[in-house]
Amino acid sequence: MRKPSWLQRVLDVARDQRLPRDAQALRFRVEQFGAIVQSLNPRALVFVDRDYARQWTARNGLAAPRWAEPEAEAGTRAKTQTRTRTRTRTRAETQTQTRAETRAETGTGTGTETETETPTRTGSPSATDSLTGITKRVLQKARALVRAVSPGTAATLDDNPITMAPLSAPLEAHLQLTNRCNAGCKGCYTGASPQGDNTSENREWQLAQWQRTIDELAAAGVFHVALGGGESAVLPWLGELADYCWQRGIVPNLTTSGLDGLPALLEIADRFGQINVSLDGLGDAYAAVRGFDGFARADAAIRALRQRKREIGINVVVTRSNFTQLDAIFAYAKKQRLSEVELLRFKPSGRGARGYDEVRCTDAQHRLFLPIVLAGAKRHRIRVKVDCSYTPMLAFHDPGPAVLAQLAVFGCTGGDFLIGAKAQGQLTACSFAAPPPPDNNGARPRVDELRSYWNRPDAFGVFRQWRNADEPCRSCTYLSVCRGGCRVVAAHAGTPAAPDPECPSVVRFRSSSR
Amino acid sequence: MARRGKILAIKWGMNPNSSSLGVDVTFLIAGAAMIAMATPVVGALLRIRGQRQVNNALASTSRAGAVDNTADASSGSNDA
Repeated sequence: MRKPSWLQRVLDVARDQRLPRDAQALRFRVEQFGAIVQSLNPRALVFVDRDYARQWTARNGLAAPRWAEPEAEAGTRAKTQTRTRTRTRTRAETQTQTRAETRAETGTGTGTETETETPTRTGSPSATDSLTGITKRVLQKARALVRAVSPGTAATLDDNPITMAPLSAPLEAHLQLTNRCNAGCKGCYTGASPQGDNTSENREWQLAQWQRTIDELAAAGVFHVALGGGESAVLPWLGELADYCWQRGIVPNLTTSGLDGLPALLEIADRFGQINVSLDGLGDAYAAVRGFDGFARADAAIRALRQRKREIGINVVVTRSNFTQLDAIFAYAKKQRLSEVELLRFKPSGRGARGYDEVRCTDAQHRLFLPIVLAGAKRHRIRVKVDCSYTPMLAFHDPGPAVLAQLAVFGCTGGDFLIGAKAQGQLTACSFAAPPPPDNNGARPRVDELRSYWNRPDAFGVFRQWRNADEPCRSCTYLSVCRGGCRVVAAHAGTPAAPDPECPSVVRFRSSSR
Repeated sequence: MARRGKILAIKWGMNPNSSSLGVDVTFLIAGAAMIAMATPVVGALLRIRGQRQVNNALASTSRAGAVDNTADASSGSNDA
């Protein structure tokens, strides 16, 4: 396929040439802090404050948006939170003195806090030092530039209005259209099987029910859906559902294993905003993670999809065994001209809960995660995304809360920025989480009734209670970004509301407390 | 005089992954300089596209079943 010139790419962006016919180039949603504007080209969700929202609507001849909460009250609330957090941070400084706190308070980022644990699985000490040094320099520059160009941006996020309250609706919904899949991956987070979630009492939802769900999500103001499974590519109505999403103003995106349903998927690939193929390693590493040798088929699917569509990426579940292969995976993605690599932390969910402690990355690997990702992305010039559960590993290197916030990097956003839905329609905070407990009538919330559940005070349980975090999260500068890390990992360790036990800062805090 | 307003955050790309929220960390390489440069560009695009979007919306108001949050905002019904 002929590579488009840079001029053609610029013209594509300017003319919105690559959008489906039904696509709306912009959508707009009022939030307590202001508004969120969705742009399809370039692809971005832009969070703006109230003044910007007022000007944007006025400039475009629209009536000014109205907010339920007065502006002054919102500001007061933020300042109150700031005072509270500052007090707790001061108290805890003497207890923990984490690197993040020290740097935030001094504003120097001199890197005087050296690690005593030397990673052993990821290369020689000199290579490790080099990576860490590069990361430190990059992040120091980032922090300094943020301070220079955005003097109003605080070192902490306490006064960031985005984090004051849950959004009015999720940004995206992750719909598990089916739990049928023939692959049988040993770490499958949904426990997918060839028969799926069809039982004598309940059946998986079909097209009409998912269309009703799309109606509900559109009415709530959801921007994107991520369609997955199981293997959704085998569903005969997948393309019809994607069309329906566009018609309702929602962008459909898709994850597939590439192992099944490829011919049909190629026919409808253009109907998705982005398609990612799960690829957990190259060659033998794929089999080591998944339990069978499917690399050749996944590779063929990636190549075929890339022939049809530019926005093709790969999802990589990072485990102890494929961590050392990340650089090679980036090189592969670059060679295949993929649009992105998305790195996902292995979760103790579904079949992944069995043997989780042997498969998950080590603490040393978690500490090296960001340096290795940044170095690899820079070396291969490939776009890398990470999932929300990696935020503690990013925060550990102290990039600055403001920098993370400007990139909309937030930790556990289940039940807030995102929701999940099981194949039988049960609503969940995220795809890895169990459905909320049933109500007095024995019914669990359903995704096609999202709006009636969303504003309940107890909605999504611990997923929305990160402000009540225990130490060391309570006094961490990054709490409002990181939100205490992954709730699913914490639940697996025994206490869903506890700090993420794999956060490097939590590991260090607990080891020093013993 | 009205305050100018700020872009608070930009979440780049779309997330096809059906399990978690994917965020772009590549911008950390170029650091805040890139963020600072990208923000006014995105702002300009929003202005240009916003006007076009309104024009398109006016031209297609009769399209049945279309959900347009811009229209919601114009009617003031989308309170947070």
